[in-house]
Amino acid sequence: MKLMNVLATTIAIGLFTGSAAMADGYKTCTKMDKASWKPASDAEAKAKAAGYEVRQSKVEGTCYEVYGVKDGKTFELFYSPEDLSLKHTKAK
Amino acid sequence: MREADPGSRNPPSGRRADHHANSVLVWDLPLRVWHWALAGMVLIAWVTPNVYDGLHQFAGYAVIGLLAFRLVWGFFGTRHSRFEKVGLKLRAAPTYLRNLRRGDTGRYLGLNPAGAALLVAMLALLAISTVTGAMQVTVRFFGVWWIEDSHAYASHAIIVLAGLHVLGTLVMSRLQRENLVRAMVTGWKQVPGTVRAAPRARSVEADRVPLQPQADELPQPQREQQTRGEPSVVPNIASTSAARPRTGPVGVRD
Repeated sequence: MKLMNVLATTIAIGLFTGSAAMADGYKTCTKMDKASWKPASDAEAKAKAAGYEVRQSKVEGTCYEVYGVKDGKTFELFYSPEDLSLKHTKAK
Repeated sequence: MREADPGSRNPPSGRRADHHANSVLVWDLPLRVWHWALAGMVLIAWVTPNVYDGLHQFAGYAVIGLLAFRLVWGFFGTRHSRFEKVGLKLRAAPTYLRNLRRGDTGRYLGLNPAGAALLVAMLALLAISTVTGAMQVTVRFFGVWWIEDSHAYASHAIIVLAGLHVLGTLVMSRLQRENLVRAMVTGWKQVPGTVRAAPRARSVEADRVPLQPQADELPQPQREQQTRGEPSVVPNIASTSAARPRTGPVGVRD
């Protein structure tokens, strides 16, 4: 049964550290109420103006996440729905 | 479904003397390494998306490699690693699942039909998840919604199936009184019917010697033989179905 204990412990540790690491990606951009957010299309327009080819955008937490391609590189751009300021850029 | 299997890399009957008596090597070493490596990689991939992209991608590529190995091993591995009976078991799966509700677990050395169905679904979903995942990091398919959605749904389904797999293994371990997790570590499994039947089988063996079967107990043809006065072998009482000791792997499916 020693073997099983080692195995169970390993899995338990894996799950524990795993769930701790689960704490997701970039998610917080504003505290503003969702009803008064600026439209997502504005965020896309801003990315386009910055030279990105926009693939899609979606709400991630309290951010607009825009998928953009620039110079053959892929990026995720996080805009605040409050003032459309660029909060975070993640090269993928 | 036991048949001669010259291609098998298992020792002829797969048995060893000492503590492996009545045990048989079912899961070969490469399959076991594959299983636990896959479990580890899926676990890593599960907890790393969006946060540890590098690790997540590494796990994904590792799973692609593992899938490629499994495909090869499905044709060149030992008996229980091969895919040859998976189709048969898939067709048996609905009936098997129905019977399972009545507690009939069947006796399988390798995968039972539910396990085979899960294997097929798991391999398909892993392929979908890893391929769409790899596509997402190309400029061509980056941010394409259906790629992203397929990746997410397939990946979530994998976790659900993995949970089912763990649950099924634990329940089956209880029902069949065999530690199946351990079997996937050591590779050895009990030959079904040997564990609990052994004491009873021995008592039948002991009874057999002094027992002379009565003529009216004999099957019809043998009785005729005797009445004709021909020299006849004393029929082995154990060979009649009612008294057959469940010693060997009678009715073992694999």
